[in-house]
Amino acid sequence: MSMFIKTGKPSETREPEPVSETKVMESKGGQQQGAAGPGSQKGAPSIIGPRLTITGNLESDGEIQIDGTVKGDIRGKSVTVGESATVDGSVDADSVRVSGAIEGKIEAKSVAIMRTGRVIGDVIHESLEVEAGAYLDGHCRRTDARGESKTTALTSLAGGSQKHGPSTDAPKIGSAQAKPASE
Amino acid sequence: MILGRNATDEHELAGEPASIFGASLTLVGELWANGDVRIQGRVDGVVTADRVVLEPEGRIEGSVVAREVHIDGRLIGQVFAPTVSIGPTAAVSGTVFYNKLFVSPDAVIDGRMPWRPMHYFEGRLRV
Repeated sequence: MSMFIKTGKPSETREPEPVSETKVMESKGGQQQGAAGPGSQKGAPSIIGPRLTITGNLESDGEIQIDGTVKGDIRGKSVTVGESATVDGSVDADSVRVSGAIEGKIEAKSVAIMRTGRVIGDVIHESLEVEAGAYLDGHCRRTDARGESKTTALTSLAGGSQKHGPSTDAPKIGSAQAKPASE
Repeated sequence: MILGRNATDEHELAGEPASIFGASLTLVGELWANGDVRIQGRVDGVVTADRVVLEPEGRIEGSVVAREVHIDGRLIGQVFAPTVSIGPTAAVSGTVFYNKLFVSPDAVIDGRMPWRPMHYFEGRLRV
């Protein structure tokens, strides 16, 4: 009952200042990290609870904890896939920690697959940790700077398809992804 | 006791914490919760749950289907719920299908709010 009648502050104050956060969210243009220093990431993580199922793409500029089911791609800063979680889609983040199941590509600076984790798909990483007992089925590829491998892939690709236009300039990652699709 | 819950539901609520769809999250798609969900982020699509709380900073563009819905945030679209309460910070545009309704005098409402009998909702709700 209490969850529906608000007398002042909500009983469960996971996020310290909801109102100011809205502002952060609205002005998230390019300065997501501006106000909140590293570590003091806007309050608690967003939790996708064990009884939640999400179909579609999920985006966050903060921390996400997934304990439920996600069918779709996830983008975030820090993604934790809990033991009870199932992800059917790719995960793109700065750091990913997997204790549950992921079927799809993982792309992150730091990837940790815990012993209860189950990953079917490629892992693109700068630093990879796999605990004994983890299930991992896929290619692991290391990149020094994130996205570099994509860019090189594109440069060679662009070289092979000169007829499409002058694309000798180092292209952006976004266009790198768009290119193969058009061919 | 606007929403008239019974004892078992209270117990259920206490035992199972609500899933939180945090402020930093944006979802384009569908969200199903086999329980309660608090939405602080943004959803473009459909939210289906036992109970949905749209927090002041939350925003839903699409539809909400639940047994109970409490709105404090921004909602654009449709609500199908036997019990709906709309708080003072809410802004709702669209259509709200309800059986029991509470609206705070400060809420901003733009749209229709058609009453429906209980059996209208029974086929639409999973729970």
